[in-house]
Amino acid sequence: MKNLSENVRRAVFAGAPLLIVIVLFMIVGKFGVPKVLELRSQVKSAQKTEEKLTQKLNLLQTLSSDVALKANIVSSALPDTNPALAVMSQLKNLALNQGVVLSEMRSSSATGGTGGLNEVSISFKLDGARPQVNSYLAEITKIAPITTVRKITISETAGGTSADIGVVSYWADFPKTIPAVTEPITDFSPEDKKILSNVSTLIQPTFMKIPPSSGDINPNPFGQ
Amino acid sequence: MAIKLNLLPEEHAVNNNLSSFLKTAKALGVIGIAAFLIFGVGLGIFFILSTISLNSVNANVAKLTSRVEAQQKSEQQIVLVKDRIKKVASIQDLPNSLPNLKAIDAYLVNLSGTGSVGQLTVDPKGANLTLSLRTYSDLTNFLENIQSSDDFGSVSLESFSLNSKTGYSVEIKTTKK
Repeated sequence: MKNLSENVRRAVFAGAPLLIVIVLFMIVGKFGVPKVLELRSQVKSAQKTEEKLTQKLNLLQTLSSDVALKANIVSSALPDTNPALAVMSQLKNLALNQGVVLSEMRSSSATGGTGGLNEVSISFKLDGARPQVNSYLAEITKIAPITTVRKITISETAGGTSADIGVVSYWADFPKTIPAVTEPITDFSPEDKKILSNVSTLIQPTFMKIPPSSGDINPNPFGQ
Repeated sequence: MAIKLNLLPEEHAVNNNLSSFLKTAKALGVIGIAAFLIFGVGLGIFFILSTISLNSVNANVAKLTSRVEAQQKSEQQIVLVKDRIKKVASIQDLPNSLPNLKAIDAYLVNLSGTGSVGQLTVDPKGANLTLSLRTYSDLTNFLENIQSSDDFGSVSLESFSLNSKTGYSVEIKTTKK
């Protein structure tokens, strides 16, 4: 009996270090390894963010030189408010340049279009020689804000050509949010550059600035 | 011949099976402790290096973030330009009458002297034309030209009349190709 207990004691003493090591491995495996793996994943994620930010910063620095000009051009081509007045002014200037008589110009109420685009219809009458009327219609595509011709009714008489024209111009709200700082941005694609190039050739509207009146000032505007 | 002596008391004697087990267990224990030390130290070093690396990358990210934020105005303008470009592209797909006018006008230019346009209505779907032509050959030439062209989806003669003073009067309807 005494011999048996001595054997057990020896076996326990010999096996204890092995058992302790196994338990330690299990503890470290359960808590230490996941912690290190999580840390590695955080490092990878931070490195990706760092890469995105570096690319974004480089692109921003490259594009920042002329993006303000581009923004002005596209905002003029597609403004954020109803462009009826600007378009009417452009159509009148165009009529003067093309030697046609423009009359009966009117603008209808604006409607909401698709994809965030709003539309305003403008109709008018043109009188002149046929080549000038055709030239006028072709030039409409070259004005800013962007205007498309929807309906044309041309009547020809011995006196010349008379045309009832219906055009549509557009506007859309400006974007209200910018992407998150870590969100990447991309350079302009060749198609984007082509559209930008086309838009930059549009004839910009010119407005006459009316200075504030410098007439008599009423010293007592609320008086009797 | 060598004689094996065992001076241990009999109650301290270990049988052979247990003896080999104890040796194996002791050896495994030593190997295990060594392996654990190597593993633990390695893991610790890896943890420290990863922490240093994370701190360094995070500091760089913070620096880059502030530099990107300083360029926020440019970013806003880029977003605006891209948004406008997308919308301008969608406007280009919207209905437009000018291609239809251009298509039919090519046939009307050749009319001078042989006929005259009464009324021409053009919309994005097609065109409707009222035309006077003086002679029968003018009429057939015009109709042959316009019907054989590839510029229209369809060409149809809507009405036809003959007036002894003005000649032939026709109404033609074309649809967009």
